[in-house]
Amino acid sequence: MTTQPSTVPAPLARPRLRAIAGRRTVTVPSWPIGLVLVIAVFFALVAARTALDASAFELRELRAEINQESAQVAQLQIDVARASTPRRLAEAASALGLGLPEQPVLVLNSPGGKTG
Amino acid sequence: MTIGLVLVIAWGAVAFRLVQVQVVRAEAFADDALSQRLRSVVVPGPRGSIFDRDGDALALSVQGAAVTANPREISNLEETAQVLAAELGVGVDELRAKLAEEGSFVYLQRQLEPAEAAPIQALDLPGIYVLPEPIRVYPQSNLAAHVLGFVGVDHAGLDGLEYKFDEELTGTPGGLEFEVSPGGEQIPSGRFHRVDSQSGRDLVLTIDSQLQYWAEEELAAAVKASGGKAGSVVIMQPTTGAVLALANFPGFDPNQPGTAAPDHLRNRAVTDTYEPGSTAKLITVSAALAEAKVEPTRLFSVKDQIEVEDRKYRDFTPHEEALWDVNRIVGKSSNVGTILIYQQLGDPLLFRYLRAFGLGYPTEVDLPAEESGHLDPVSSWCGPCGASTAIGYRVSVTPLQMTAAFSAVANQGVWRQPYVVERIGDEPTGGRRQQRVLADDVAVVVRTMLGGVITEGTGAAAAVPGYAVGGKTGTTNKYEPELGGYGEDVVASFIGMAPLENPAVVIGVFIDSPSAKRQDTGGSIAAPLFSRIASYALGQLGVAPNA
Repeated sequence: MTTQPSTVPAPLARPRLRAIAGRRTVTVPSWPIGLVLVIAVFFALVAARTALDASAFELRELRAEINQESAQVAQLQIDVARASTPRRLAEAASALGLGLPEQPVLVLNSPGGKTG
Repeated sequence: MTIGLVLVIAWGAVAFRLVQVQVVRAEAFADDALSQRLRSVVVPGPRGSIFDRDGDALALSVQGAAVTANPREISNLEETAQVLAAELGVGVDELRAKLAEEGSFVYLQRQLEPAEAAPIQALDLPGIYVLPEPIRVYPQSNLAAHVLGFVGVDHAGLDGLEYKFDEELTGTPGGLEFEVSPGGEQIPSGRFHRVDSQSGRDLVLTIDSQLQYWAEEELAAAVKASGGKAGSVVIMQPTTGAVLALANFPGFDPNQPGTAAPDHLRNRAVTDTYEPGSTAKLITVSAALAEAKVEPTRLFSVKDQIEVEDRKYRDFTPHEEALWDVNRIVGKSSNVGTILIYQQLGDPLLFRYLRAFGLGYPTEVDLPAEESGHLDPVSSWCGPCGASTAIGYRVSVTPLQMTAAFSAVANQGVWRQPYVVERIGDEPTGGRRQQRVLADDVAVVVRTMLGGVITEGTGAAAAVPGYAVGGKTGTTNKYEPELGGYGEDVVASFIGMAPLENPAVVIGVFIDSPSAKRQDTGGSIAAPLFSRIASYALGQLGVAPNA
């Protein structure tokens, strides 16, 4: 038995290793994020509060307007009622020279008579 | 190690408190916080209005204003007082005193109309506020003031219909509940709860404003012209008992009841009693006719005086003895003749008819403080008491009672309970009393006799051009308790109906203490007033002339 001579691969050339500086991971500290968040929340709250206050003032203005209109309606109600009083009508009639006749003249239709 | 332990304990304490606040007592704290933010406002229910029969407003409730001050916020007291005094029409001294008061709230003026409050609001004075409050307005001022009554600043009825129907007129308050910011502004997205207020119910009256106005005008003129102390006019619709007008003089403005003399606030037509005198002869004669004790044409020998037991009665005007029938006795308003008729009737029957005509007990008209008048039970009548009662003495009545009695004759013999409130809200009022006191034919005979009073009797001045009318005069000496007897003052009255055939109105006119004493009779001052009022009333009601 013959054996073939085994072929031994030639050893690889050992790579020439060199130390390189590893990539440094940038670690961002958490406090700026927190700060930004806090500021954002703060401004959001301020904005919400401002919007709320603004609508409250709007509401107040609307209410004032309603009160003013209601007062006008109330005053008109009173004025209309006063305008139709018999005293006022009598005074207005009197100013025009109208009044109750002292001696009224009556036109009587006799029984069976015709009018028209 | 020690620091760690301290931190653990501290954090533990914080955690414990956190759980306590956020979990255990969370609800209580939330409620406390809410209660600090919540504001409740009572919204008053508007008081019902009062209208006349045609829907004209007699009393209205509207949103008015009150002017208030916080004296602590006023920087310049003197200037503020000066400016406000001019606007409010109040004395500077009065305002200065109010503005200098201790405390943080004082009313400067209440019950202002919107137009009165607006200029004060516009001034924008520091420490001066205009607050909304409901006000009661009587747009027709004095008109029907005694019927309407008035309310206090809290809107509670104090007199008249305002008092009698306070429960019906008063609204049910509602409310608002909402969250406010620390600055006091409403938080729009916050909690909001509203309970609607309910308006009070309106009253619709039987009163006719036009008639009421003329009755008041004519009454005031007549009382002033006669130098009288007071007077009343009652206009009734006999077929229903509806009171179309009820006027009293002196009157008052219900917008400012505090400025009126207490005496002027009285609704004399229902609270004052007087002896009806000759107008009561209507009842005596009606009773005698109804009981067939006399015929209208029966003749009596009438002297100008008569003695009943120890009491002497005289006719108003001396005359020779004459033969007068019942018609003439009524027309002449003879005391002696009426006593002769009464003597045919007797006490029990006279008493029964007086009661049937509504004397001695209140009519139960829907107005407060009505007097019942006075009528002694027949069992306690003295010897001549019946004779006195037959001619209208020893019995007292209110003007309304007596007008209602005449209405029975006008209404075919049926007495009807007088009333002034036609509807409450949409519901008609009802359940009123009525009773037949005379047969229809007797009522016709009595009305004819009342016509004779105008055509040939004491009431000639009551004639109304174009209409046949009837009525009865009355002139009664007033009983003066201080004197213990009758004084010189009289009550002059006339109660009549028109048109006589089918009366549309019964009008009672009463003038208290005219200055000319016995010279001012029902025929001379009350009858002409009846004529003027009846003339207007018939036209206003559209009653065609018939004579």
